[in-house]
Amino acid sequence: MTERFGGWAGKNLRVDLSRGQIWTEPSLELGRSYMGGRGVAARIAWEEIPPGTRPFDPANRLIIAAGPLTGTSAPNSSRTTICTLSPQAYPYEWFTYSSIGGFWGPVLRYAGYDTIIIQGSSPEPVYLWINDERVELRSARHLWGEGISATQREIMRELGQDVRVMAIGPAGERLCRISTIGTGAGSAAGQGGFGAVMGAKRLKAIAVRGTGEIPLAHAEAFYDCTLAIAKAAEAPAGCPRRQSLDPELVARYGQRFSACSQQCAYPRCYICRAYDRVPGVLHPEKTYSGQLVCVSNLLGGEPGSFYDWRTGFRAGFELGRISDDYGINHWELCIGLIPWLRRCHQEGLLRDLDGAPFDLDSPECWARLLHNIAYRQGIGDALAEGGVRAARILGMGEELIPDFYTAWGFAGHWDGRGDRANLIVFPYWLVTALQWAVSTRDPMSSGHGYAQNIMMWSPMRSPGEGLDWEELADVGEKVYGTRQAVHPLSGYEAKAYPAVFHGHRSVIKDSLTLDDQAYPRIYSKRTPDHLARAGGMPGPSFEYHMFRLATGLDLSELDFEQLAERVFNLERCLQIRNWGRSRAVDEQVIPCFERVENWVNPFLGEGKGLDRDRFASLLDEYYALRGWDPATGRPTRRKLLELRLADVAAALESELPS
Amino acid sequence: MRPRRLRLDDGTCIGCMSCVVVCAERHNLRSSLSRSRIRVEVDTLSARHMSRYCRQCVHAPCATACPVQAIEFDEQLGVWMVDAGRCTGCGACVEACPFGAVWLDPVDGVALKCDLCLGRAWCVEVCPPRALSVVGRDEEAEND
Repeated sequence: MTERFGGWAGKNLRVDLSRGQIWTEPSLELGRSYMGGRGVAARIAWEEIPPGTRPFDPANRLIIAAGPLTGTSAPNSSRTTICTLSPQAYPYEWFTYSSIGGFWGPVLRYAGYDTIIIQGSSPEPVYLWINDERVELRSARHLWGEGISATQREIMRELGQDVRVMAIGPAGERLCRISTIGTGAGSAAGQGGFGAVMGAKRLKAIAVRGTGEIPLAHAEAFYDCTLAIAKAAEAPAGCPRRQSLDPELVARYGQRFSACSQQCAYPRCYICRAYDRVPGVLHPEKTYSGQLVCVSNLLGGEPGSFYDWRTGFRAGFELGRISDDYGINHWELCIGLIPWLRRCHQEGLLRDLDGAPFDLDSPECWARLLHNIAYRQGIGDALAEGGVRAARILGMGEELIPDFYTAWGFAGHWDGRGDRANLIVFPYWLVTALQWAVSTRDPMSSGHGYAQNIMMWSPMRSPGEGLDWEELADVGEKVYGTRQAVHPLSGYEAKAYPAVFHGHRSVIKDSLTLDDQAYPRIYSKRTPDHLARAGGMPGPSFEYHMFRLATGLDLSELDFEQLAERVFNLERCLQIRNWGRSRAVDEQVIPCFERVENWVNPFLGEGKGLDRDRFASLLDEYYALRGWDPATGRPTRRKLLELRLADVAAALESELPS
Repeated sequence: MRPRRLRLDDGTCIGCMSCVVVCAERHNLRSSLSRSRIRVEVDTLSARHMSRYCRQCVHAPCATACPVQAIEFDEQLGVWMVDAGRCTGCGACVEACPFGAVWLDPVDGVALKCDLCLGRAWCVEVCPPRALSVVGRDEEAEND
């Protein structure tokens, strides 16, 4: 029987901006070996980004990668993973990833491409125009300086309303380290500062029209499989605080549930809301429309919380649109930079903003801040470097930074410290700490599966609606092999395996591509044993079955897991070769987690901080499970050979443990 | 079979386009937007969206406009069907449809319109917010 192939669109697109050259390469072999998305990007980076390369160098590769499920009927499948050297990452400008939603990725695939790899730097501002098989670079001189929204509008006016555009704004053009790449009405690749990489390459935008088709190896089985998974979507899995519409906002501004991406399969979206024609406060002559997703809601403030400012809904919405247009990362703004500035002001370290009053209740103050960050004016020049670097540059409030940033991520983001948005208690943040230790960015972008899932389903967060602690532990046994992986009294026991498991799920989601909130599907109220299921498949296997049926690859679930493990190890090897990654680097997260947690596990009665010795043992256990040397935190040669990364092992010979 | 048609509640639709992709996969065994028989056009800059789908009109302008009578009412299914063998791809039906719900297939060039999946409308099955349903044609005003 001949194998049937599908899933991958078949071509990768190559662009050399220095030479103005465009060519294509077959994508199938890379896809079969590294899945797609983040996995394929890791292989390209390994081969093409040598040590010493920095984010703004022409030699840096900007890799924009969809995966074999992007644009298919796989629920929540239409994201795109962008990978490159990160201007935002600190203290290492290492290679990392950021996911973007909206409607762009599927169209790239319908145009016939899985990945775009961009190298070099254009002498003049340009944008890339992909019109199915016809691809060209066009002048963007008339667009340079425009916001992300105006850039999209102008390109769509030039090329057609069915064209999808991702673009940078003034922040990316000015190489702000906290700049985004944006698309649509509120989608962005936020973390990483990747807008500045496009800015350095003088690439203003990428416009795509895709009218073709994506082949499916086992189409009938695939669409039955995806339908079963779509129908099994189940709450609670998102942000319950925002589950309902506000009758006043519905009446005034047409607030509604709205898909942030093609193929969003939630019965109603828990995080995304769209609004129509919200009148401006700063610009009363204007109205704004678009979406608010997750932290973008915070520009309006939440009095009494970490976000204790009172700009209100209308001004918050307007400020969200303005900062989206400049291309400034809302996470950095709302979770890191602005709360840190507020503390600096409270502590008397920051008197004013270049002579203007620092007053976060004032939309004008915010507007000035956003403008000065995007255009690097006054104090904005330092703030454009992100909070951690700004504290050093300004010599201001460095001692306050750990309240807002956890190593290469944001405090409060399922780590149990910092802001109080994400309720989590010991021992669950131990897994977060392990994920954080081996990551290159805030790991929660595609790593919510353990901590968020447990807390959202737990009696602490969803009393009466979720599962009880014993039921959660029972499911934990099925997924992680032991009840202790999830039990609230399990302490440091059985926490390494969940960190490995979810490290692989993160790779899988960013590679296929799938949305983090929707996978892996673990808990359920609808099944007798509370393990999520659909169409005879256990929830944690959904990704495997969709991948197998779409691509036609004849592989076992263990083989699939090993593909993810190969990508995880290749990323680690790239970090070792280019940035000397080691156990000592991983341990930089320890001081952050030693701080006492925000909440108390009801069974323990007192708040916990990380125990350095016990965490050292947990790291030993984690490295051992990975087949990495516990002393150095580096993969053994044997592990790399097992993962068929012999060439990588050979190149790293002197760096690896014997 | 009494006449039936799709109905989409625009207020409930979240603009995810699941129906569009599923329609293409079920009919063509490949994922696309361009070969689908239901379209959701998302204005990416405002997040507003507009749907286009066949109303299975009593007096169908597409059928009337067809110079070769390739669009015929199937009494058994209760829907207007395109006879792909007879269709010349002239596009008269595309022009005639007041709902913009007939297209020419970019691959084989014949008229493309909703056939309710010959009985089980898969777009209705998949619709996450349940904005889509199949209704009896006579229960509804033709233009809603």
